[in-house]
Amino acid sequence: MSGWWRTSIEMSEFLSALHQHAFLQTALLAGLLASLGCGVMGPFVVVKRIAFMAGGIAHSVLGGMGVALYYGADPLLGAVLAAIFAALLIGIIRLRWEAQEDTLIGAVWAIGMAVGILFIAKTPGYATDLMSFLFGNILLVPSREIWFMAGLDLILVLAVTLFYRQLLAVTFDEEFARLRGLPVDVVYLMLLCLVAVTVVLLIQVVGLILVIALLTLPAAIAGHFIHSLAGMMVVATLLGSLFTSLGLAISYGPDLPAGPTMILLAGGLYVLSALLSRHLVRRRALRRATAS
Amino acid sequence: MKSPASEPQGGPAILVEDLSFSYGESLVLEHLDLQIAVGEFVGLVGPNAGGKSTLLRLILGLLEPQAGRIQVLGRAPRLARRQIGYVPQFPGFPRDFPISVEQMVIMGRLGGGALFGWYRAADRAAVQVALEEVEAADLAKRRIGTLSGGQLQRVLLARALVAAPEILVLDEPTANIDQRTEGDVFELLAALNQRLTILLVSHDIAFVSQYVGRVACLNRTLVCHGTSAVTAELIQQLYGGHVRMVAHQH
Repeated sequence: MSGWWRTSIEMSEFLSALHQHAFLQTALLAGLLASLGCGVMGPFVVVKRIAFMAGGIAHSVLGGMGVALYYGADPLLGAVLAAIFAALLIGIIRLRWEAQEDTLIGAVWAIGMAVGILFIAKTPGYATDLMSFLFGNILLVPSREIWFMAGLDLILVLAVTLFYRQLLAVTFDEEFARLRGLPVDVVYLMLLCLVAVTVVLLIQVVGLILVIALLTLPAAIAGHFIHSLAGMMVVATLLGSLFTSLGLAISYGPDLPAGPTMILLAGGLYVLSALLSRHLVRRRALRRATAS
Repeated sequence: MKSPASEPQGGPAILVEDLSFSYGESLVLEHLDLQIAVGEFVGLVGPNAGGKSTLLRLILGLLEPQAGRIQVLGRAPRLARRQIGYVPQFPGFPRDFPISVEQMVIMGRLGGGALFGWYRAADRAAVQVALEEVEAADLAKRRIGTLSGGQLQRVLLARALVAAPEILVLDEPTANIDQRTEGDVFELLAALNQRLTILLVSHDIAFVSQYVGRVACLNRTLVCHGTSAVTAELIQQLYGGHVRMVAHQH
């Protein structure tokens, strides 16, 4: 009972602080914008089973951020360019050298990070905390980046709305899509570029190490109970919003890092959801067997 | 039962001339000639690794010939793809994909119409017609993961038919279904042969020859003949060993 009491006090403190502090409002908004991105693109990553590729894209982003910092440019712009470059490189590797896919993606992953660390280390007057790139810090998202994140969300939603049929077809059955005359390679590379944009959105919130968790867990939980890709997008967006907002609220009082708190919430619910989904499948099978 | 369109009529639907193809050092097809007329129902039989699936992939334009040429409806295979309905042996999608039967079948309408946006009413109507034709209209809302082997086969056939193709190509369409359903599928194909040219790959030479107009036997090279000419000697030559021929009816 005292635990519940303490939690409710912390929640009311958070709500009161949210009302007073602009940086918290910005953080909450950043979480919601990131949730929209992970909700729209996460289901593609989960059903297409390209989480490893998304991981490669996420980690190679550090290279772009490091180079941008070194030359005094906006690290977020460097992140977007690096993410798109990595997505195209990884996509072309997968399309042309399928046999060595894992090794080559691993190489892009590691080389990107190495480039980033070298450039960050050599950046004159370097003051940025490397940890905030790796683990993110939602409380430090500048308000001008909210517009940037909203712009990336708009790109994602527009692209998925306009090309939903093509994206779904290539995600579902590449060979059949090719037989219907679709430019499968182009659509596939577009899918990876959209994943890259989502990765940049999420890096703001949870950092590049934890991006994959927020990209996949809400969609995977949705996939346990929802049986259409569009439905998964809606539920994953709602779940992402819940994890980022609740994670922010829970971490605020005891001054915990917000990103890992969000991921632990998502991970905990994923485990529960997987167990429940397995139980429901077994129960349905048993009911069917006894009814026949 | 022989299909009414078993005799060749008009120009070729599929023309293969002096075709050779190899994967690296392994020669899969060698100096192969095959002509399938519009309206024919041809069964392609042969041993495993005899080149059947490779020939299908070449006809579908998924592979490029290394020597010789292929024409489908008078054009290069890549340009004629949308006129071909294809039913694969192994579906290229996971069975747990979150998609319903009607969402899957409507993908057969891709490639025509507008580049942007969603499917139109005409596409949804065509899905209904295709599902009814394969007697699977009641499955429209079902998830693909809940279908039996026979039901999935019918749905794959509906996906191949939904864009009104001129040629139907099927790779081992009865490999994963029971014998009774197999008979139903062949009856359905015989009916579709009234308006479509059909090329079907099968391992069951005896069963196939009851339905098709012509059997093409493939083991790297090709021997083409009518169903009446399927003899023990030919099967022995094709499969490269002693075989026992058993006549059976289903």
